[in-house]
Amino acid sequence: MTTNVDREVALPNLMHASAYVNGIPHDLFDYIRSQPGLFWFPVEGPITEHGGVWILTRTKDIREVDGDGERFICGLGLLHPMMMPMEDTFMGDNLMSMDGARHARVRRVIARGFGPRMVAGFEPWIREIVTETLDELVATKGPLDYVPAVAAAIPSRVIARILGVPLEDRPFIVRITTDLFAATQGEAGQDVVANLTRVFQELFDYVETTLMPLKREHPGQDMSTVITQGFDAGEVTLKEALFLHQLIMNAGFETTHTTIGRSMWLMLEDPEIERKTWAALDEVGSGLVVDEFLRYISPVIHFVRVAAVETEVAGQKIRKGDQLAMFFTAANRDPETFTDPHTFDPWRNEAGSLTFGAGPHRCLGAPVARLQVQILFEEMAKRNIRLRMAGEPKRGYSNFINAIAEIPVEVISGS
Amino acid sequence: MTSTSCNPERGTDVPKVTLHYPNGEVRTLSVDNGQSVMKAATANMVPGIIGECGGELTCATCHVFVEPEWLDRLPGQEQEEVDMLDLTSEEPTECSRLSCQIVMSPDLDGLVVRLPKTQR
Ligand code: HEM
Ligand code: FES
Repeated sequence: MTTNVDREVALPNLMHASAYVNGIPHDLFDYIRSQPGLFWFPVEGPITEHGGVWILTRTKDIREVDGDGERFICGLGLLHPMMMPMEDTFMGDNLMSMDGARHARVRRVIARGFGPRMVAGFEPWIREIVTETLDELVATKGPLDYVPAVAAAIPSRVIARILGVPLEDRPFIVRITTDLFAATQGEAGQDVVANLTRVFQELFDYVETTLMPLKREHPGQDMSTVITQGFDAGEVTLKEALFLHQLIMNAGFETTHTTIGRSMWLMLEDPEIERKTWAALDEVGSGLVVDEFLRYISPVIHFVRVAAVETEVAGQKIRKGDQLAMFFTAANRDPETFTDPHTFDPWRNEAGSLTFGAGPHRCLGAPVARLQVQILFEEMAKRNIRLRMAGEPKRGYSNFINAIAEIPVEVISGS
Repeated sequence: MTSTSCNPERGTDVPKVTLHYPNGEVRTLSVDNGQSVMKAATANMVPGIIGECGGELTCATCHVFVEPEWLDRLPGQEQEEVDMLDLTSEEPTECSRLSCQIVMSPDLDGLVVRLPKTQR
């Protein structure tokens, strides 16, 4: 069963943030994908039931697993190190760790706010946010950090607006979003659960005592109103309602932040990518360009599922309780799905990317995420904004987000 | 309607659904009794129906427009389906259904649906 014994170099622990400090090890994923069946990766300690994890790198295998919420469940954990029955933890009320009928009931409450036609109506105010952010950017003299200035600024403003958080509370929401993400990334020995619980409590106090009462009094066209009404109608419990607020903040922030930050980093580091980006924006428009950045970057590295039954995937027998790590980042470089997968090609028009996952948990925010980044590129092209690198960019530290911490830049042109 | 088993052209008891594409293309899809149109479409890799959530009523990527004369014969709509129709990529009409909720039965043999231009 162990298929990686013949490999000479020591494998980094793919389930741990330390494997991603220098970038995504695509050569390693290519190797794993080229092996027959599924790849077994041993993990020490009690995190796994059977002493390891199945590493999934092919589009086909991940679609099969992610698409089948009956055989492969979320309720026993989604990420290392928190692999345990989620119901016994505070994460039991989080949509992402729910399964079956309960998941469908809770998901429908927020799904209402996220349909493509609904999101198309967000376009004018997202463009306003992008325009303001770019005004601030071009007005800055000298070097600046692109991450807080643009990559974090746009999604945090968009999320605050989607939730319907009043302007004066937006700095609080931005801080909580950052703290939440930091808390999931505890070093070994650190108590991730305790850290998260503390930040959650701060957020939940705010949502329960300030935001939800506000939405009852002044309902708006926003997600907090949708969730509050769902709670008042008995469709979700209070805890579920609180966690939905948290999920929208978490899921929508770091991912979009990574997309915006990493796309700029790539352009400034590789003139060929920059040239292709501006040319393709002109020729085929922002949709394909952004889809290609999303594929190439794959902001979410992986999520885990646990087999609820004994079964088989890619000819490999899977025991009940086995963990399967779905590496979206590797599937997005699967040569069976994409020609020349390691080349950035914004003209490619190939469907099948797993950037937003697949199946019952597929990202609800995909249209909002795409729209923000598309508008950003459109406005930058229109205003002829060009930057250059002004220092050493830094990656973040995460085992599931292709995270970016810092990108020192300087504006060289644009109005 | 002709009886399925007596129709020599079908040669099988499996009911058929006709799919009309926006570009004028027409396809026939066999759907087993008890199976949903979405499941049959995705199992046969028929384009135009994605069925992302596998029929859990949480994605709205299995949208179809049912030909009006068939509407009344379809199984009823639950509130969840009505809610999810708000989320379809293409504007729904009175004929809109989510095909994961259209479960095949012998009297639906010959059903005709039109596909939207986009599903997401
Ligand atoms: C580029 C940006 C984004 C990426 C790459 C991304 C990616 C993902 C992925 C991979 C999943 C898990 C899918 C699966 O398990 O199959 C997910 C779930 C989710 N995302 Fe996103 N996401 C992004 C932006 C957003 C935004 C902006 C929002 C909301 C404002 C959002 C809300 C959600 C929610 C609510 C879920 C959980 C759905 C469920 O469990 O049913 N995401 N996202
Ligand atoms: S398949 Fe998802 S709603 Fe029909």
